[in-house]
Amino acid sequence: MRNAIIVLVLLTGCVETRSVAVTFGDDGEGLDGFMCKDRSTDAGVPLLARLPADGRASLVVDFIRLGGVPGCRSGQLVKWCASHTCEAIQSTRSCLEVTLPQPGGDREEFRKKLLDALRAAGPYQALADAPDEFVLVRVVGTTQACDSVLPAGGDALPLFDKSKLVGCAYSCPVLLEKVEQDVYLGFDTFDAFCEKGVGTCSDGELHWQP
Amino acid sequence: MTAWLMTMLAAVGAPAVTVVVQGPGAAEAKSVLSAATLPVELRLTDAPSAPAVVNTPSHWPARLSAARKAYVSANFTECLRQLEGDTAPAELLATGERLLASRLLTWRTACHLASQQPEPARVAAEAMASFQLTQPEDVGSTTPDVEALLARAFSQVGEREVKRMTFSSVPEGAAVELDGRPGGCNTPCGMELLAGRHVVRLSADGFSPSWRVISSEEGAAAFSLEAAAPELAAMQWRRRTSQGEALDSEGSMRLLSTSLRAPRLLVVAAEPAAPKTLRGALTVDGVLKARAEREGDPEGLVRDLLVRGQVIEEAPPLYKRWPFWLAVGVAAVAAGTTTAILVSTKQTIVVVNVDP
Repeated sequence: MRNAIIVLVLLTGCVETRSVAVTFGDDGEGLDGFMCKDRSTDAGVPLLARLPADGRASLVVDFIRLGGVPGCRSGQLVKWCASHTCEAIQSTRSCLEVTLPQPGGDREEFRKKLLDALRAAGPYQALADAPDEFVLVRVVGTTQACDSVLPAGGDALPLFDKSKLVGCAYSCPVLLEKVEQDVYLGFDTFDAFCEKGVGTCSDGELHWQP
Repeated sequence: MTAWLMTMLAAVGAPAVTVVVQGPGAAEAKSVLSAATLPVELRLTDAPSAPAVVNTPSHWPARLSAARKAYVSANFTECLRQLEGDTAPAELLATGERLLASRLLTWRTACHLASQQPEPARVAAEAMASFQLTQPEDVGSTTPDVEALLARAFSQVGEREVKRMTFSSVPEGAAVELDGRPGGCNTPCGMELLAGRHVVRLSADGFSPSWRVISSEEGAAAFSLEAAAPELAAMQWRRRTSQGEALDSEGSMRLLSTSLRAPRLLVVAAEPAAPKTLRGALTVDGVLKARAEREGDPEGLVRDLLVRGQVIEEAPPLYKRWPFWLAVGVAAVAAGTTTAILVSTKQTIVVVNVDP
């Protein structure tokens, strides 16, 4: 009987550890959300133009609880979250300070610069223990300091200042415990004027912001 | 075949229990018990069929007849020869033959008196009076002086003082017979006796009777009875049951145990009025250990009696059996494993890696 209890305790104490990588794609194809422009001018102004001169920005990683398993396309997600509770899990937010390039030049060239800048930040452990439910992984770029976007104590997550957003990317709903590939982050857009998409992506409840 | 082999193996070294089944349905019960799988060796047997009383022919009627013939023929020497035997009167009284003892002493008185032997004649007459024997019809065939001597002896003995005599025995409870008369008392007890010699016989079921001649001067007499031989026990048992005693009464069981030479005896019986109701009793070394009653199911009844009589051990409760704890252990390990799987922590580290 004593041996059985020991075995039980040992089994109970077992911890299975696995790593899941979050990626923007080999060529940074998931970075479209960081190349959006607003409509303040006819040609549009890149959101990354909001960066300070030194290019310092914050990448905020959230794990968003969806209350189910919706489809993956942006329209499906927006529709799902309109009728379900989609919210970032407070305890899982993390923030990484990065230096991003000022926008300019050819789109593909800039994508490469952006990718190189993110590579320079190196691998970053965003979460030590993933939630055991389907979540959406989101990375929001902002010129806000990490301190201002991280929750203080048990407070609710601070909302992003939309005027300081520089980009956003998100994953399909994924069960991190089970996923067997890297989790790809991307951003659905048909053109460069996708500021509203970034606003929806970074919204606290993933609601479409008209 | 395997079950038979297991039963045989189990029976090796198992205690033997003699079983007597009587009453309606005995054949069916025996059939069930002969096929029973019990951790004992059941020896099914019948109750003894010995007669209740064995009458051994006595030679004394013939000898008394010959003595009378010799007396009438004035052959007193022959008469006395036929009546020889110092302990004969006591032996006859010890077996309850008071009439034969009375006739023996009467003819001894007559033949001694006719042979001009007044003292032996007086002793015989006095013994007859002392034992308070009734004078037999034979007295009418003797001379008047014999009758007168007997009358004088009875008169003299009747004037003797009465003395208190106590009797004890091992075992206690034996029946005391005085001078061949039953219904005296049961030991330990006391009786008022005419002074003089008397024949005392003690008897008890399960023991051989014992007798001896005592003198009232002794004041107390102690006896030790020996255990009865199986044949005597069988007779005693048959006498008891023929008088209506129940087969499973303690006394009956003890006698049956002795007569069947069965240290462990189990009796199963049913009454004709209720043939389905089986009564049972178990004795071990003559001591009643258990009684039980059950509707049908002779095997269950026997098992119950053997357990209660501590001949076999009761099947241990579930929690005292090792397979139970083995099953509990397996179940606990299985439950623990399942729980561990369910509650174990699965840690997944998420890394933002732009350059995987």
